[in-house]
Order: sequence, then C-alpha cells, then structure tokens
Amino acid sequence: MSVRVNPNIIPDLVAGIAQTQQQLNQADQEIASGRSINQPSDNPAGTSALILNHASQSQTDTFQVNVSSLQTRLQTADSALSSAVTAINQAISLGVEAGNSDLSDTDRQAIVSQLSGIQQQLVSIANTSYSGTYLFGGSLVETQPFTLDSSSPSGVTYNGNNSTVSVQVNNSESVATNVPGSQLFLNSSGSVLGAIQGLITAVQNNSGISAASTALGTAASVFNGQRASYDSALTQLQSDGTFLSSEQTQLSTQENNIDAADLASASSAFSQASVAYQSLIEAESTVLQLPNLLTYLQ
Amino acid sequence: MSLGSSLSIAVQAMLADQGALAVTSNNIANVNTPGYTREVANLEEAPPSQFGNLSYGGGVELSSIQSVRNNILQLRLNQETQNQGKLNTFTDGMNQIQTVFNEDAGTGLQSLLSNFFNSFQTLSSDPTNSGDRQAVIGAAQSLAAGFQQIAATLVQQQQNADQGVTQTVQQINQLTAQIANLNQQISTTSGAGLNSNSFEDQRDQLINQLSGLIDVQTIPANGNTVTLTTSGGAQLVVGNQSFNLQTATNPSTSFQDVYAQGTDITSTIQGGTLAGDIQLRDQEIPAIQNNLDTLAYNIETAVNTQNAAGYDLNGNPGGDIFQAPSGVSGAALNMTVSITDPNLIAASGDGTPGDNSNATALANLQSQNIVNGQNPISYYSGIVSQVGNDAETASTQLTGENLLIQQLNDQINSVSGVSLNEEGANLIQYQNAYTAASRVANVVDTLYQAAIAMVPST
Repeated sequence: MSVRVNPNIIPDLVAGIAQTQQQLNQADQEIASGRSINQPSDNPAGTSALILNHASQSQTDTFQVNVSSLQTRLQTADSALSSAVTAINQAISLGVEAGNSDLSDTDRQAIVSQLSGIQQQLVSIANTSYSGTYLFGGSLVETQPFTLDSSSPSGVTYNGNNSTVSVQVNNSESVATNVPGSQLFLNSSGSVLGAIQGLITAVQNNSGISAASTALGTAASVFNGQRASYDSALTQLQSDGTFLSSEQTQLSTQENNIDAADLASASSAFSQASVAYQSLIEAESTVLQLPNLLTYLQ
Repeated sequence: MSLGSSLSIAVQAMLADQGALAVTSNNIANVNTPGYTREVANLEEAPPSQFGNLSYGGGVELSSIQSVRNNILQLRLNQETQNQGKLNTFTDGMNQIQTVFNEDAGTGLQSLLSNFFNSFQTLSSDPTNSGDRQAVIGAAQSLAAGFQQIAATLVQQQQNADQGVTQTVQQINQLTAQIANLNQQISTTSGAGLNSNSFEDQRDQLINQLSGLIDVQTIPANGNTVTLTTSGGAQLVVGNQSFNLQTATNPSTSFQDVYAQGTDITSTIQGGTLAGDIQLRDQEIPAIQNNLDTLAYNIETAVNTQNAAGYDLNGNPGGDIFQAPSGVSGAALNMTVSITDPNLIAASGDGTPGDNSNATALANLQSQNIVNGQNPISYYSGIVSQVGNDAETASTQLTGENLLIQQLNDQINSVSGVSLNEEGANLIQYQNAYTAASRVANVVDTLYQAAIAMVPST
C-alpha cells in the first residue's frame, strides 16, 4: 500500500508566492533607501550603534562650529592687540625723543599731548567689543573694562576681573579664549597703561624720563608675551579643526559600515526572488491546469 | 439457496454501490470545502448462509460511512494555531511601535536629545548671546514634544490592544456558543446511530478558529462531544453548554480584564490573539513606557539640578528649565519646559556674565551616567535596540510557526483531503459494480421466465 499524498498543493504554492513577494519587497526597500537598516528589527545591535554614531557626529559638528566662531573672535582680539603694539612702539619712540635734554617746554608739551592721544587709543583698544561683548574684561563681558581715571596712578580704572574663560573643543580638550585686560594692560611685571601714564607724568615734570622710558620698554615686552597666548590659542584651534574634520570622516565611514545598503547583495537577492517568484507563478499556473481522472471520464 | 436469494444479493449489491456512489459524489462536491474530511464507504461481506454442507456468501453491504480524520494532527494544528495567533498579533503591534523609534534616518528622539545638549555647547562659546540662549529653549521644547509624542503613541497602541481584547472576547463567545450547539447536534445524531461527519467537520473548523483567538484545550467527552477549556483550566464549552468570557474594567489601569465565571484569568491566557494583545498591553508596552519615563525623569532632574548650580544672566542662581516631574511614571508624557526667559539659563558658574562653565557642564550631561548608570544617549539606544530585538524575535518565530502550520495542513490534507483522481477511480469502480449487479438481476429475471415457461398452460 502506497503512502497517500496531499492532493491539493495550491495553498502551498500561494504561500510560497507570498513569501517571495515579501523577499522582493525587502530587497527593494533596501535598494531604494540606500540603507540596510530601515527599522530597528532589521538589525537591533546595528540600530544601537547607529544611534551612538549619529550622536557623536552631531556633537562633533557642534564642536566644529564652536572652533570656527572662536577663531573669528580670537582673530579680532589679536588684531586689536596688534594695533596696540603699534601704538606702544610709537610711545616708546616719543619717550626716547623726550629724553633729549635739548627740548623746550613747548616741545615737551607736544610730546605729552601725543602720549595722551596714545593713552586714549590704548584704552579704546582695551575696550574692544565683538558681537556685543567686551574682549578684555575677563568674564565681566558686559562691563566696559577700562575707564580713564586721572586720580589713578595708572591713569585708568579696571572694571573687569581676572578670569580666563575656556571653551570645550572636543571631548577631552578646552581652549582658553581670553587673557584678562588686567594681565595684558596692567600686568604687575610690566603695566603698559601704568608705564604710559608714568611717561606722561615724567615728561610733564621733565624728571625721571629715562626711567619711565625703560619701564615702558619692559611693559611692552610683557605685553607681547601676554599677547602670544592668543596666537597659540589660534594655532591650537587650527589643529583642533583639523582633528575634528578627520573625526567626522571616521564617523561617516563608521556609519556607512553599519548602515549602508549592500547594493550588490540586495540586487542579487532581488534577482533571485524575482526568479523564484516567476517560477512559482508558472508552477501554479501549470498545476491549476492539470487534468484529473474525471476530466477524461465520459 | 434459490433464485430469490441470488436476486436479493444482486439488489443488495446495487443498493450498496448506490450508497458508495453517493459517498463519492459527496466527496467530489466538497473538494474545495474548507475543513472537509473525505468519507470512505466501507463495503463488507454480508454474513453467509448454510445450506446442507454448503456455505453461500451473503453478498455485500455498506456497513458504514467513515470520515478519514486524524485527531492527533488536528490537535497539533490547533496548538500551533494558538502560537501563530499570539505571534501574529504581537508582531503587528511591535511593527507599529517600531515606527515611532525611526532612528535609521537620524530623525528620531536621538537627534532631539543631541540638539538639546549641544545647544548648551554652542552657548558655552558665547554665553551672553541671546540667539544662542533662545536656541536652548527651542531645543528643550522640541525635546519635550518628542518625548510626549512617543509616550502618546505608546498609550494609543495600548488602547488599540485593549480594544482588541474586547473584540476578541466577543468573537470567542460567538464561537463557543456555536461549538456547544454542534456538540448537541453531534451527540443527538451519534446517539441515534447516525453519521455526524459533517457536524464534526464544522466543529473542527470552529475549534481551529477559536485556537487562533485563545489557548483552548480539547478534551473528548461523552456522546462524541468535546469539552473545551483554556490551558489554565477555565471552562469554555461543556457538552451543549458554552460559558461566556466577560470583560471588566481594571480600576488601576482602566483596561479590560478577562473573567471566566467570576475569576480573573487575564494573566493566565497563553495563546491566540487574546494572549498577543494582553502581552502587548500589559507587559511589552509598560516596559517601554517605564524605560522612556526613566530617561525623561533623569534628564529633567539632572538638567534642573545643574542649572540650579549656576547663575543666570541676572546674576541669580538658576531655576528649573523643565517642570519638575512628580515621579518617574508619566515623566515622558508630561515633559514640559517651564523656562520662557532666555536670560534665566544659568550658563555662568560664578555669576559673571562671560563665564560659561555651567553651560559646559550642562552640555556634558549627555556623556554622564545620569540614567541608571548610563548616559542618556546610551540608555536611549538600549530602549530602541530592545524594541528591535523583541520585534525581530517575534517575527522570526512567526515565520517558523507559519511554516510548521503549512506542513501540518499538508499532512492533514494527505490524510483527509479529497483527491479527484481517487474519487474518479472510485466512481468507475462503483459504476461498474452497479452495472454488473443489475445485469445479474436481469439474468435472474430471465431464469424466472424460463422456469415459469416450464409449466404448461392448460
């Protein structure tokens, strides 16, 4: 006695067609979207990695924008300080000139006048603002850092503080973005504004001009030393920018590895499913037309 | 032994073949009827009669019409149908839930989380910038809206599952009523010694449908009836009586609990659509909600605490950025930004307007372990991958289940399915036998004529 077999295979063929249809749809979705992960269940671990990757990319982008805007601010500060150096050098020349004992009172008065002009120019530079905030007041960025004060030995009152502000430029690194005005212009090792005022007083009184000139020279090199911080900050920002760019590239590559559609294998899966689909349709059509015994019985 | 007995044997044969033809005809008519089990005409030799020392056969009789069914296969099919029903419903629900965690294009909650924390990072490079400050508030509002939307969708899915419970219970009650009715009819018919095959076919079909809805156990009982219970033992059908399931609102969840004769059986249901909906509604979705709430609660709390540690643009200690959540539960659905004045963002660490250390600290919360030992991004990625895992597992199991059921159906069909070739052959056989028997009757009639002709007429 032979084994009886399922006389009706149509339901199986129909189910087979539905399955290949699903495979076709899946391959198609991957090709159309360019991504291998189109919902979390496609690759749960991959989805998790993708989320972390996207978050890192977003953070890296933000750091890059920060680096950019800081570069602009620091360049503004540095160029202001550059004008200050020019002015200080002019004052030094005037100091040398004033040391000449041949000068008349009128000549000396003229020099005092010019020195006062330079003093005001320096105060103005020290009060430079950028994007609504003062650059040289420490962290008191909304207060004008320097005001002229004739009763003060340095000729000014400093209204800022001594704070340095740092900005984070990547996960493990921060960059100092300012030198306080007090450190730049009123440094205890050599105060530029103090020395200018000192020179003015010395020329006015025609006494101690040489000492005052020397003091100004010392202050000028202290100033240049302080100013260099901006230069090194800008250099650091430059290399930070480069580092962030390469990090961004790495993250993009990582994202691709996690999520990019493997077009070659998706296409081939699509082709295979198409062929299977075709075969099943043909098989079903053949089976449906198969005669049975009753067809032949007259 | 007489002509008469030969005639009666021929006539009996014709009747038997007629009956067998009727069975064949019924099979052919029902070739496409779902759930139909083919019938076989059992022809048996009639008891012989003794004449002297000779034994003459008694001809053929149609002793029974038997439906060829395999109850074991049917039971297995029903078991797998229960699993399939549960997995189908669960997988559908999970696929809908997945759409709300659409992180593949990078436009889901992760981007809102990143934008929020990074807005503090941007602020830290220019702490008095009003545009940057406003951007923080904007990002906070987007984040809150994102949490609310996901939470609301989860609630909606729960409600959908709850409606599913109510509808399924109604369908179950309809089916059990019909099955009880069939039990009655089968019992009556079998009791009268009659063929109850088509009622049994219908009953099998209904029990299979019921299996797709709930985890039903089939126990054969008296009079060819079946007793149906859930696998937890709640009665569904006993003899000609069906027992309705009821739904009642649970006072603490406001969802429908399922009762069987006064007992709450909600957590004991293991199969069918009902189990799928209950699992979604009472386990899977609440777990996701709890994780989402935990994330929201801890972010709100940590951000508020950090803001309070700094100073705003007016030089005052910072206040709440988010409306302080009353607890973990509901934190996502109720996430609200309470700050409206950008000056109140406490970017400064020491009260001076240019200091940014608190803004930096706020930004760095994204990489600190502020959510149950994980950082917020990492915790969120865990939520999403869990959802993906649960969906994938169920989907894979469903595919396997579908295949298994297909195989079982094939097996059942190979036993019970109507083969037109087979029936065609039977048709010819019974037709020939019928014709042959009628020939015999014809011949006997001729012999009668001959015998009568032997007596001379007067």
